[in-house]
Amino acid sequence: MKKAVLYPFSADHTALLKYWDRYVSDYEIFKVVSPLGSGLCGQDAGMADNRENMGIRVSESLNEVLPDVDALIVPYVSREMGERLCLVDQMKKIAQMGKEIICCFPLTKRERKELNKICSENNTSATYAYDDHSDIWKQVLFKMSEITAPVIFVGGIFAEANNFEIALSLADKFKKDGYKVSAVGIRPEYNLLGFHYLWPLAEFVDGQVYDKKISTLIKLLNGYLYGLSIKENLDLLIVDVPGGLIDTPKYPNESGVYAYLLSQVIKPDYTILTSLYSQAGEADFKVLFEEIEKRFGFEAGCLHMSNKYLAVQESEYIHSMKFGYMPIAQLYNETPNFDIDIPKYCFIDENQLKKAYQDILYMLTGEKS
Amino acid sequence: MDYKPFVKIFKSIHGFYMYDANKNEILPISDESYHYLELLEKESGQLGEMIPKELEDLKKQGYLAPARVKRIKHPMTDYVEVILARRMKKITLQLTQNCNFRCKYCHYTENSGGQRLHSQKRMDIETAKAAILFLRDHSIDMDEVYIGLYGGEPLLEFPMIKEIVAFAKTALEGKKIQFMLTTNAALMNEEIIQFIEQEQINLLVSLDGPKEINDLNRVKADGSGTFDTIIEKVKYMHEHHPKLFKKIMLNVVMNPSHDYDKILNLFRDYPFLSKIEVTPTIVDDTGAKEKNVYAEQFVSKIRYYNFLTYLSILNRFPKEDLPVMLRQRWSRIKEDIDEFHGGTLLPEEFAPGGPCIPGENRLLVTVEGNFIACERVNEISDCMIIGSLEDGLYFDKIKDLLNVAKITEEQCKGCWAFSGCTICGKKADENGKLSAEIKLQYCSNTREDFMDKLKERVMLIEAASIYDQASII
Repeated sequence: MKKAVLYPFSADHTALLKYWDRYVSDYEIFKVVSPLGSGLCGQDAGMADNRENMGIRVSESLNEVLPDVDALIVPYVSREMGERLCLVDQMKKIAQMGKEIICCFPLTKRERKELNKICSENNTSATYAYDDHSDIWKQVLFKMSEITAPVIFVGGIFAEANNFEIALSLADKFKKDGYKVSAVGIRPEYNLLGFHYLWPLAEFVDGQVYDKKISTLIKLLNGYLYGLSIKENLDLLIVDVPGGLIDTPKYPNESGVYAYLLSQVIKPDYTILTSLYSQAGEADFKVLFEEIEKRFGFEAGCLHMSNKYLAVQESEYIHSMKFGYMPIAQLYNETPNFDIDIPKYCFIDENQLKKAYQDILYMLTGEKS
Repeated sequence: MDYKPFVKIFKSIHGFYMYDANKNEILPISDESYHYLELLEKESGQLGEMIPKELEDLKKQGYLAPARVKRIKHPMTDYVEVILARRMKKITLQLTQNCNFRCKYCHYTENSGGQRLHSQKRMDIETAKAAILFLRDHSIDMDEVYIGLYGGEPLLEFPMIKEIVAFAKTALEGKKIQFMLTTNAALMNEEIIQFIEQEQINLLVSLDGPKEINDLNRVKADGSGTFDTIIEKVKYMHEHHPKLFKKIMLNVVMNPSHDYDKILNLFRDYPFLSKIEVTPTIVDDTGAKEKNVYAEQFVSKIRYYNFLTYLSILNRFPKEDLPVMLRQRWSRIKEDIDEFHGGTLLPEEFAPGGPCIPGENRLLVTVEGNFIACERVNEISDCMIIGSLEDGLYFDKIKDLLNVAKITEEQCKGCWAFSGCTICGKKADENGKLSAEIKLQYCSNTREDFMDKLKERVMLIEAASIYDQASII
């Protein structure tokens, strides 16, 4: 197994770090490195999103760890952050050292070409996570097909709240019980883990609409997911729904647009609603669940409570959602006692995850693990 | 049994209104309902059989509830430790206590002993670095942080500023860093300007009006005026560094004893100043021996310009023709237009608006390395000292400031302006302690300000309807 360093590591990548070895056997994440300004260097990686220790210390210098690894894994970070860290230049420099590059950072065509050239000159390779090798969607582009495999939606009420981690953790549980399961979402890392980067939706999120028609996109997504379910003979498909489901006018999210699109593509058999850490009570959640059912036509199956919270004051000030992380231990104690009338879990906690898995499995199949 | 709905009634020239303090919402009501509530307010009666149908219907919809907050506790009180451990946004470094100006309204020029005075004390570079590392270690959840370069006059320490900027860029690698330099600009030279431009440092420059007004208060140590020096530097930046010039924010500290139009003459005489953002403020007389005096020519003209601002919002007056000092107000009114959005009842445990979380957004680090709640408070007042680089943060004192309303709990719980209150610890500070007596002195004005805001909102709704501009509300 090759050794790799994950850089630049942040709270967005704890799930990737936690579940990497369950899905990838060629590379071991041997080190994680964060930029010096992150405040994480020298601490356990779990500090990134204020969870329990993950058993791996965050290093501060990429240069110091490079001699010990064979590959660099660059997780998804925004272009802005990438430019601040001169990420493309760093990747080129590391490729020149003969290290493999596994890249989830969105490169331009030119950057990609240059990186590939440097890799081939230095007898190494670059894996670009956005590449779709499945070639499944083209088969059924012109009609809507019914996907017979059970489908789970994982959608954030106001914003993404551990959706990626929930998809990975549930897929892991189902796989261990012998089910053929896949997950899709707009994070390129899904491709790296053997699942699927839902590029037609990701490109829509990024501002592209095929044929300038939403109906084309709906058919394309349906064709993609149907093709996937047939090709992989799926027992279960997990869909990581991007954006928030309920609009937040003071700090706009995606107002449920992507969830609505997906609800026209495929009907979920079970929905996990993910919630930012909240002091909202039963009555508030009841209103939200009813609203979601009316808007999208699916019922809430269970609620995941995250330790990620909305920094309200700052979000209102800059009209954009900003987040922080509560200590996870506090949440583990609070969630089971949370007073709402559907099951509630914190999927980050192994015990609550097990319970959630049992309940979901029973709901979908009538079986127990 | 008495039934006191938690509401405040008020009138406009076109109608009657009720502000529901529980829902933070304004509702138009009938003449009959208004007078019924007026009577109820005066005689503390009951909502009985004679209740107008309109009010009965509103009551059924959850309005007019008598509920009041039972205990004062800021909702963030239990989260202060987590927030300050991970979401600290800004530190302001007091690089020096020295200044080359002796502005007459500046507390540091002269005071009765309750505040510091200008001094030769300067921050050690190691203190500055430690403060930046403190910010780094307490901003794990932030992708953008702010570093204020403050004084005295920070440009007296230009070599240290260079060192700080270089250090911060390395220490905070990966974060977006915004530097803010608050300066009187007098020491600006080509080298400094080039550095500021290159490092994209935001500039806040103070100029209080045209020469005859500015130089009444803003003087050098020898008593001579400062206007010519400042305007020369600003003009130089405009002519030679237009990119930097556009990033300047001009702080106009207005003395309200002057004619407002005379202050505005600054922009008539130097039109290039209209191209930059202008922040008008009024001389801060909190805790000052001499309180502000408002001239008729100041008040009446502000009212007139406010009127033009409203017309501009209603698309009946060109925004670009508004005096430049009104632009910020224009934006603020637009921003606040949907503020009274309604909601559920106030919870049993809550706190009035006003305080921010001390230390989160504008922690001042003094030359000695003490932490002060912000740069606007008295830095030698014990209740405002919320920690130090050596000791870390004093959470008990932070929570006291956050819950400053606790010292006036009974008054606050029954106050209809609960949600619109703007009083923070600064206005309760009496010789280093939070004083109920001092704080209560500000209540009446604060309530008046909030009522003005409610009336402004109502006026805009009514005018929007009259001018057929409903879409702006």
